[in-house]
Amino acid sequence: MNKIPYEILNEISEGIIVLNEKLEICFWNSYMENITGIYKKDITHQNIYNILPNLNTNYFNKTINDVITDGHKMFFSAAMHKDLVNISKNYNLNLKISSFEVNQSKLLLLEFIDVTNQYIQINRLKDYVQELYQVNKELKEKEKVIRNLAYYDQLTGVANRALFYELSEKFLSNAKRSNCLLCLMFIDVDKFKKINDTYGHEAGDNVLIKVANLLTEVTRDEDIVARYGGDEFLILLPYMKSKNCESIISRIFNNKNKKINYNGNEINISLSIGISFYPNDGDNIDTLIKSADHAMYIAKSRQGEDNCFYSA
Amino acid sequence: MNNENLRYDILKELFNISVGKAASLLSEIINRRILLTVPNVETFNLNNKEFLLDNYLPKEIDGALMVSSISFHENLKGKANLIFPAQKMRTFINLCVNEDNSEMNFTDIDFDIIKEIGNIILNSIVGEIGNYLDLSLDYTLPEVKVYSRPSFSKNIEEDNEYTHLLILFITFVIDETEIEGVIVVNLTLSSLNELMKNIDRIEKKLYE
Repeated sequence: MNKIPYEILNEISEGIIVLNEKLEICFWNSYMENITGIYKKDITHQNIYNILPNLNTNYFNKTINDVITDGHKMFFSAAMHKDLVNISKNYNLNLKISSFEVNQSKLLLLEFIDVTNQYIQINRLKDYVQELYQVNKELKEKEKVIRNLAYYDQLTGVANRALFYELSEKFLSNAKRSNCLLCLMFIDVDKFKKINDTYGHEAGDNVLIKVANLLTEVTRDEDIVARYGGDEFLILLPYMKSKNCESIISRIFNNKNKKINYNGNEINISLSIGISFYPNDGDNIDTLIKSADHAMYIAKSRQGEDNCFYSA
Repeated sequence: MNNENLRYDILKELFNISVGKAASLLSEIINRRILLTVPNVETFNLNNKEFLLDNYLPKEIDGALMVSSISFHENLKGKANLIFPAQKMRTFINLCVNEDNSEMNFTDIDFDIIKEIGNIILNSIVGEIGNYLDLSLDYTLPEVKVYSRPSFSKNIEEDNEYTHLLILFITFVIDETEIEGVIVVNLTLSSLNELMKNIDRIEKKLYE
């Protein structure tokens, strides 16, 4: 055989084996020597299956036969032939097989193409994607926490003033568009200062939590319950058909759980409620709050527990 | 049975024998039960009407197509494309390498797997065409690409060199998963006529 082409094949950065029709090794390039540790001088003229026994499978034999008889070019991928092609543990190799003729004798060309770098890169990318997925998941969770902190009252869990304003503006625009009534209740805990002074701030906090739960329980899903500040709560009731809030007020005042037990003491909770309506008492949220607040003071000034007053 | 139908039946039979061999080879390689069948064969004249690939692919699957193509030249000029919905190919790749990957982005490793499968199937089809034309065809290893449906149809139509298409419906059953695809072979009119003439010869032998 001509020496020059073989010297060129020695310089190629892929594994090259040339076999004759009897599958004896005619050439084994330097790259093959590197990846297998098997040297050409030791194996020339030996059958390929003696040197690379993993190749000796039924389908490989069939393939080799096709390449010799029909001149087909065949391809074995590293992913599907981990045992067949990967002659060295550290390499992932694709195998291309073709045939050519020299001096009327057929020779087979086996090209082992190293795709280990692709595997490394793809695995790195997979790790990176996994990492990004984790970071994204954590960020989303943090975002949720931040959103909760910004929009919900930390003590009672109901909406805070910021969320109340955001949602109430939407409901107000909707009521304006559809000519509907909107009801706003201003609720204040009676004698809250006395509860704090008598039983301590922890008892006061428990009262606020109880009131928030109670108001949430008696309202509809679309109503908004918010803590306005201190012992003051707001309820916004959209889609009202009439100016009659008796049923909800009755549910608040007559609730059997309107009390807490604190260190063996039963503390009854009394509430004063002021009510205003859009459009009668104002056409913006601030005015409606002001009207309901004013009505609440009138209710509070009345004698006895649990009073309610409608803004004029 | 009329002549035209018989001709296509013979073609279908021939291709079924060759894909059967491809299936047994693939089956051995991935160690799973594989069935490959060609339930129908059609020809299409690109001069007469617009080629709409969608008419030949399963309707229920949208999205990209994975195409392995080989070109053959010298004695016979043509191009053969093995086309499967990309989404189904992901399932197929997963079965080949025992993975459970739902990513629709294909890596070079995935492309190599498709290249190997395309090589085996297209060898069987193009090899069969060569056999029946009594020609030895020289062709390269497949080139694998992902196309959108319209861009692939356009690609076939823009190849002015070829006027006719040989369309083979192909059904791939691997374990319990069935994948329907299509093989589109671009041929010149003379190549197609030559192929049909040889089929006619086989048909005549049937009556002898």
